[in-house]
Amino acid sequence: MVEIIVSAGILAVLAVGIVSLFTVSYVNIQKAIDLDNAVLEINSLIEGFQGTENSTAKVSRFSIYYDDKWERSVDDSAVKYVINGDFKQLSDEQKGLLNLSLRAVRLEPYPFENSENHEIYSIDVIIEDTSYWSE
Amino acid sequence: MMFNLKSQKGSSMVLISLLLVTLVVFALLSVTISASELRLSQKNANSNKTYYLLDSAGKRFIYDVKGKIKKILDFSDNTALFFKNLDSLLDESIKRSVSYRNGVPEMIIETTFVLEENSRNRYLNVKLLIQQPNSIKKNINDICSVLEWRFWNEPFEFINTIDLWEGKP
Repeated sequence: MVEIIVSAGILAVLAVGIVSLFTVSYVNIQKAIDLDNAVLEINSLIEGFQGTENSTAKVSRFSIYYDDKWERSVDDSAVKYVINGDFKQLSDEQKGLLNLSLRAVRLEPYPFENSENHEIYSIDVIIEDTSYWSE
Repeated sequence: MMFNLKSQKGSSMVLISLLLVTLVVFALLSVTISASELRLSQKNANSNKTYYLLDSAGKRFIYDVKGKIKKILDFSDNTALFFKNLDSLLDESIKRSVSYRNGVPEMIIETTFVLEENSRNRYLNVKLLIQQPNSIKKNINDICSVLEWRFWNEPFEFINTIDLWEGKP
């Protein structure tokens, strides 16, 4: 009887260990997928803003929402990721240069993690306002 | 002895143990692969950040040069002294050369930015063509144009073990 209890206990511990290992693996893969998608999306946003002559974009904030497949979404219930952008003039001395700060955030915590609004990737880049020299 | 070997008692325990060992092995493999996948993604993200850091440094450089051109144009209309004034305003570390095309002078400015990433250097070469301002070329974007904007990695040594023909007769 004791042997059965001990072996059942060992099996239970091993089963929990195996499940937790597979969970860690799943979370790692999910983080890798999110990071790759965030980098791709942020890159395409940066390239879209390069060489901008749109003076309205000089100082502004924006948010772009994505669903679980990293497709742009406006449906609140489907939104899982957000990219927040912040356009600022670099300095008063450098009026033709804009600082674009981009931050990709996951709105739901990963399995077995507590932190909500997990930052996936963030970057600061300089965008040249080509219209500045034409003024 | 023969009786013991023929007994099937405990065989299900052996099978379950084998199944568990197999599952542990697969779980460990899965964790290892996913961790390396995540590391690769982080490496790609860091490489991307380095690219845009160098790009931003290049943009600052162009802005600085254009700012100096604007300063000269605001200060004086004497185009004959344009390159002399620009030469005096540019930092000494910046490579520059003046050449003539159809008798008209033009200046080529060149600089390299270096950034270390994962103990390897990444470079950005920026080459600008500065043309003499005239009645047509008044806009700073026309006077200063980008000739080269090239990202490159630190050269590495390699041993060529295959005797390949290098195209030399």
